[in-house]
Amino acid sequence: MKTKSYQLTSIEELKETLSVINTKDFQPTLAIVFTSISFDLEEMRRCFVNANLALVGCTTAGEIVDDSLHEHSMAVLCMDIDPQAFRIKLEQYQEENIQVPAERIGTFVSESFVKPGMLLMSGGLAIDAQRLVQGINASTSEPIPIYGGLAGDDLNMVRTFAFTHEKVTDNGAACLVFNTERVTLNGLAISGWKPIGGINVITKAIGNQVFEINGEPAYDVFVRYFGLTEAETKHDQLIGIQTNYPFQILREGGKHILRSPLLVHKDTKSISLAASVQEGDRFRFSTSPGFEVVEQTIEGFKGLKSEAPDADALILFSCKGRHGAFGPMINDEIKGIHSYWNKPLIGFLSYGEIGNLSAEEIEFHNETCAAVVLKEQ
Amino acid sequence: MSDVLEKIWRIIQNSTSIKGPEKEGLLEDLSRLRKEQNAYDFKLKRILKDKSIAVNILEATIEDLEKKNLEVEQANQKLSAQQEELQAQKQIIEENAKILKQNLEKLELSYRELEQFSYIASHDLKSPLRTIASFAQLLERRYQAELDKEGQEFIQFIVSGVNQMSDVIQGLLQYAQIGNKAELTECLDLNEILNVIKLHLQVDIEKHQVKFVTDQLPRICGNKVGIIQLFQNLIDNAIKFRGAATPLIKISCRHLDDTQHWEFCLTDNGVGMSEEFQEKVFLPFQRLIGKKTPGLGIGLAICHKVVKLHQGRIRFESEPGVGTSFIFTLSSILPEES
Repeated sequence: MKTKSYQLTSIEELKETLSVINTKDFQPTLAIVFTSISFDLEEMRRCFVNANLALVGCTTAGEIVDDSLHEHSMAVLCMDIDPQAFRIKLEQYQEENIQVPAERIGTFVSESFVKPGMLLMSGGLAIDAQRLVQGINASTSEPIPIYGGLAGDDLNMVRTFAFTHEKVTDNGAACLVFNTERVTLNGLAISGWKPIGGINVITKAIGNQVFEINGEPAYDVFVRYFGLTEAETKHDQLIGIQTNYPFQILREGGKHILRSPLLVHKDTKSISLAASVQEGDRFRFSTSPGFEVVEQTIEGFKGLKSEAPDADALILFSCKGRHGAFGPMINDEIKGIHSYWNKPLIGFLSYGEIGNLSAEEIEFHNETCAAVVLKEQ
Repeated sequence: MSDVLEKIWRIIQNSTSIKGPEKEGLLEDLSRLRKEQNAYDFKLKRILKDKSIAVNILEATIEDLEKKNLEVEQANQKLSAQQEELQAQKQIIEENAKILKQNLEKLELSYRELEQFSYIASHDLKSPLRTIASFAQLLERRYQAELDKEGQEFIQFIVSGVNQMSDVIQGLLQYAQIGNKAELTECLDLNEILNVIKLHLQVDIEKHQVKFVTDQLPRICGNKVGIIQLFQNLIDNAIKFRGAATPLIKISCRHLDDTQHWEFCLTDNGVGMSEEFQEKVFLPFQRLIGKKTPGLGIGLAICHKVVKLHQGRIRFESEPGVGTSFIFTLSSILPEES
């Protein structure tokens, strides 16, 4: 499978690129696009329709192309792939209960191929991504490889979008299902975040909205633990805290999972996490222990390289929180991962990632760098 | 620092004295330096922020732990106070238990002494009574001719009084004999017990054509003499206080699952009695219908004592002119088990 990656900075540039994209050696049928929210998404969509390319993608909080990170741009991966080897669906979250659309996605995936694998990009800031993943898995006869991320909006924390060539939505998911007998998907997610402080207990929560921690309003705990003054509880300050210091939810057997606060509700003194939690869940705040995590992450992807030595393309979902924590060093991480395969790579800075930590099952995560290797058989 | 580098970069860029590859090399080096400086600045800023946040989190954690510690201390103090109170209450209870035990021991001793006294008194009273009766009868036989009618009547009164007193003593003896728990171990078929009672009361049963309607009765463990007395006294009363109709005695029973007791109900169609005598009727020597009716008024007291001995309760329901039901319970298990 031939693939090409592009970093574009305007719709005009996109039109120009698409107008000459078909050559004798490269006739793409599918485009994966991760784009800044600053572009006219409808116009962008029409460009791909006009170019007769199937499209799937989402908005971002930063775009990754090959070995570098960009802002206010479009990351485009065009793939010359047999249209029979993939299927696309845009699933709208019509119901309040995420379980229902999740089951519809699961059914679509199961019906698409005997051995499917999926890339999932979800819009919507308040969605419970863990339940989305669980719902999909629950409606397939056996666990399927799902990789993906929650769309971003350049860290405005207002609206995030997913799209296909058919539609753009701020309340739905774009699904790209591959026939894994034709195109294999191998993925891995690495975090590196370390816990800090004592164990706290979520004493009141509904879904992914946390109202009380240790019997105290969640927002008050948040402000107190991060030493924020009234003036500092402004939008920007909070977002920095939200994305960089997620909750490390403790699980049985010494396991844990990171959950970033995505929205702060000052009126109800509550916090919406990227995925649901249970009352009684115990957690510690967490932080990046230092810049050595970048090296450790690159080293960690050696495992994926040995599992999937060859690639036609790579997709990277890297949490926006990592960017906040590593700053310019995030480029080193991207470069390091890209260097293992040296193939076209696109990705984006996300508000949450779907993947598997080492040999564990696929779940929704925060603060991870999740890579997926695509290879045509 | 990055501002300084920026200025130098501009100076070199605008410089006319530095040219060609030298200029390009310098600008390239400066660009690299700028990038490194930016990264350094970011790292520094990040480290400082992380450090500040970490300090805050740790301080908040310590604050929370101290708060929890205080709560635990307060809870401990409360617990200690409660423990002290409990200890004090325990002491009071122990003292009360001690007093209760002493009282029980005293009561048991008194009860044993009373029983012993009743038994001895009954036996010791019987002998002089027999002497009085015998000599009164001897006096009557030998000196009948010398006694006038009034004298003979006096002797009759003596004999009658002695007989009456003898019956009272007999009743007291029976009453005192009931009460030894060690004798509760006998396994009794109540159907057989009932047959024995029917034999005892055969004369009266036949005379008054008494009819019985009886459930299949259970086997229980208890005091045979006492159980016979219990049923016999109740049946005897039913006959004694019969009404105009032919006496009909119904005996029914059921097992009370929750209390491990059998409940019996003995119903007659006799004259009945007022329920105001509910307590009084079970006291010794209480005769409710006057002295014309035969008996000492000890029967139901014995019944009460037997039932109590078998960890049961007894009461009656009655309607004058319709009949009386005695309802009583008896333990279905051995006293040791209970």
